[in-house]
Amino acid sequence: MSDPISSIARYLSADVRALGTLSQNVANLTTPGYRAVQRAEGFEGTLGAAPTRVDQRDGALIQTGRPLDLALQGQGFFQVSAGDEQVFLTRAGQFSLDASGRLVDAQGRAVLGADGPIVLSSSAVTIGEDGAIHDGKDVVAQLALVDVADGATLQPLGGGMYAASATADADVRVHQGALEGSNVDPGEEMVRLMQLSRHASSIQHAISTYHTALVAGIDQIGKDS
Amino acid sequence: MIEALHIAASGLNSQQQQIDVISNNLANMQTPGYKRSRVAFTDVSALTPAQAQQGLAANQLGAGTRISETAPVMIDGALQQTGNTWDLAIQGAGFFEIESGEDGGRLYTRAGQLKVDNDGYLVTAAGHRLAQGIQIPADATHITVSSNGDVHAQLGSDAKDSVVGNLQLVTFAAPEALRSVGGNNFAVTPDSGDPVVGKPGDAGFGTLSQGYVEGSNVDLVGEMSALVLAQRAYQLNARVLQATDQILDTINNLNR
Repeated sequence: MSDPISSIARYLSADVRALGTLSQNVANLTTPGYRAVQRAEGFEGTLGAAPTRVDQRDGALIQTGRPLDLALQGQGFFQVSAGDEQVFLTRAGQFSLDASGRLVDAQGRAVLGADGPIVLSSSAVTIGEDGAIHDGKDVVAQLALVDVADGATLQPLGGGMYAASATADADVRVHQGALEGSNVDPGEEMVRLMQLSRHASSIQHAISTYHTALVAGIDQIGKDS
Repeated sequence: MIEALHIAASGLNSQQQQIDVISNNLANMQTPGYKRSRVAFTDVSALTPAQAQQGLAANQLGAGTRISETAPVMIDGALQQTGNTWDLAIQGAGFFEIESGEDGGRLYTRAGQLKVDNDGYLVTAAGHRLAQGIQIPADATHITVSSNGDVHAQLGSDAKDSVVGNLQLVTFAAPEALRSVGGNNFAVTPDSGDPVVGKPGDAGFGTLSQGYVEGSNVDLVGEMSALVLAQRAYQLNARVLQATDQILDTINNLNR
């Protein structure tokens, strides 16, 4: 026999997990290049960790006028490398030059071009929509832009980084002097927050009702009337 | 299980810092040579990349947000005409190198409101001498500074101009890694690279404009909209905190 109270309570745990996801999205409302994460709710969602999905819609373009701020529009990612061989994907284009002239992201990881890390002599460069970096008339480097083959395998790693099992050709435009805002929709998150909090109280009612029935059953059945 | 509380708190903290930076930028809107600061937000994951690479799955997706750096934005400010002899604006890359204190320390500034001190040396508005130690003769008149940094003056009753000094500029590989030390000055850091001295107008160096000051590069509209966004984001995080509290309250009173 299954215990109704603990199975109802499992829905409550699912609510709390969903609340964690929601708060992560809200906390990153202003993080450039952040992708909202959604937890797929459903039957299986209540049994274990529900599968999550990274929202792949574009965030808003925010003009900054800084030459090394790059925003992507469409399906694709920049590639960055943290020194060891690993390559990660990111949409956060707050790039700058480091002491040796390498193009790095806000965390200091090297941004990869077609031929490895990009080294520039100055930040006064023009970057085309295709990711070609022009210094004057010469093309000095080409940003390595990729897309993920299967959006479901995209995994957020923090620091604006994502990992995916396989990559594909990017279908993306580069905008210089702008950043892509986070794609979190505050309205959507607010509605979900209300749903969660109401759902939690209805679960509480269900448990409370069952509890009352149980008390009545134990106390009343078999009693002399 | 109450990650939501900590995550919302991290959001509140970050937005608070963002508002601090915005207010500092707005307060310095009229400070010549001021470079606005910018906060770089980044998300925090519950897993390290190495763990994720091993195929570990996290119970929680994330651990909130944090600020990875607050860096000055080195975009030129608009030039404002003053007509003063020693107001020198740098157009393009470069800093004036100045002495700080007695210990031979060096600082860097773009605030080119210079003057001549009692001993004839060029100093900044705050009284720091230019590291080059340019001395202007007391009888110099009709002083002009050309865009490549040459200082011309008529000495005494000479009819001809003579060059009394050559102003130089300093650039860095990564100027945005410089540390703002207040007083409109920047200090070198290991990340910024070593200072490179050059003549104004050379490749990679800006030019000088006499009779102008460089205004701050704070964009009022941009800062105000960032402020509105930060306030609303703060509110939304506070709302999540409140709702989490409510759900926890519900859980505490399950059999009420």
